[in-house]
Amino acid sequence: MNSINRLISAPKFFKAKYIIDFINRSEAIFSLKNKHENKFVLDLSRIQQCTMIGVLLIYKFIEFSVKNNCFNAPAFAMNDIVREAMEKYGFKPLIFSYIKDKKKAEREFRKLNVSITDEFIIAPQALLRNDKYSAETLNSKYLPKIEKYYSFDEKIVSMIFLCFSEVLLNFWEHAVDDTQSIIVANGNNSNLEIACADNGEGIISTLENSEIYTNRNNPDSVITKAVKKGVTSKSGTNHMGYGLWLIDEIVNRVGGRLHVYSEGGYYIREFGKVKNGKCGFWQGTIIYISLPLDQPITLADIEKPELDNKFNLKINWA
Amino acid sequence: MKVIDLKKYGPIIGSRSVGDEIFNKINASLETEEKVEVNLYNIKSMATFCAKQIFGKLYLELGSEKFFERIILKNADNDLRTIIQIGIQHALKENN
Repeated sequence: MNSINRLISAPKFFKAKYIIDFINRSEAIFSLKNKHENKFVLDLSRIQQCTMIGVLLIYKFIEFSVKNNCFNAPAFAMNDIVREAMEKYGFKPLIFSYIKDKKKAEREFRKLNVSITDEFIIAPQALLRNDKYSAETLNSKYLPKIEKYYSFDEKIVSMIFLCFSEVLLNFWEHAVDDTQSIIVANGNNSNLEIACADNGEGIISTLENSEIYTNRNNPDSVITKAVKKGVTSKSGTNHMGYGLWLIDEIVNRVGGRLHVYSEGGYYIREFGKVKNGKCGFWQGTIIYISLPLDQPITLADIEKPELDNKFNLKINWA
Repeated sequence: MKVIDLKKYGPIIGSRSVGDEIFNKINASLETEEKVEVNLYNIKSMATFCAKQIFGKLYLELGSEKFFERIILKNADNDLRTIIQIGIQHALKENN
C-alpha cells in the first residue's frame, strides 16, 4: 500500500454523480483483508453535500474495512455535514458503532427505522442473511409504510414495489457472501430513490459461466449485457434475467436514473441516455435508482402487448 | 376446494425461500384437493423469479388444461397477472 492510499477522502459533493470518484479512491480496501494496515485515515471532513447514496457507501466502506480487519486503529475525520446526513438517513448510530465498538453494530443494525413526515419518507432497512428478521420486517413493517406513504396512487406503489422486489431478489440470490447489507429509500410525492450496496459476489463474477462473459478486462461490457432482457447467470433455473432489464425499462420510460457498479465496471442510464465504462474495483454490486413519480408505469404497461400477441396461456383468474 | 391465502407473504414476494414455501403449499394441497384457490389479495408485486418458481413450475407439472381447471388465482391485479404470465411463459420457453 503506497502513501497516497493511506488517506482516502470522499468527494466534496457525495451524490450519485460522484459514485465513480469514491469507488476509484476506495478500491484499495478490497485487497487489504486482514492486513491490519497502520496509519489509515478516512477523510470525510471536506464534504459539502452528502446524499443518501453517499451515506450508504460510507457505511459499506467502514463496515467492510472493520469486518475484514483492513486497518489497525484507523482514524476517521468528519464534519457536521456528514454527521447530519448520517443522522438524517438513520445511519449514524450504526456507523458510529462500527467505528467505536463493532460488537454493538448488529444491535444497531436491527434498530434502523423508517422515518416519515408529511413531506418525505426515509427508509433504511437491514438485510441480514439467514435471519427471519429481515424477511418479516420487510413485509410486516417496512414495505407497508412505503405503501401507506404513496397510497394516493396505486400505480406508484406498484412501480416502486416492482423495483424493490427485483433489487431484493438480486441481493438475496447473488450477494451470498454479504451477511449484513442495507437497502435504503428516500422519497417525497414527486420522486423516490432506492439504493442497495453489497460486498458479496458481484455481477461480473456471477456471470462468469454465462455466454455473455468475455473476460475480466471488460467488466463494462458484461454489465451492459446483463441489463439486457433474458441475460442470466443461471440458465435452466428460475432465474430469468428480467430483473435489471425491468428496472432499466421502467427508469427509461419515466425519465429516471439507474446506476449499476460492480467489480470494475459501470452502467448508467440517466434521463434516457446510457453510458458505460470501467471504474475502480467495487467488490459486490451497487444499485442506485431514482424514479420521478409524476407519470408512473408498471410492468403491465411494458410487457402486456407482447404477452397478448404471442402467448395463449390458460389461467383461471377467477 | 382448498383456499390458500398468500396475505401473510405480502406485500411483495421477493425471495427464493418464500417462493419455495408457497409452491410446496400449493403442490401439497393438489394431492388431496381437486381445486386450489390461491388468494393473492395484498400481494402488490412479485419478483419474476418467484413467479416462475411457483406458477411456472405448476403450469409445467400440471399442463395448461389441468392448470386452468385446478388452480384459481384470485385477486391478482393487472400488474401481478403480467408478472405471473411472464413467469409461466418463461418456464414454457425453457421447457421447449
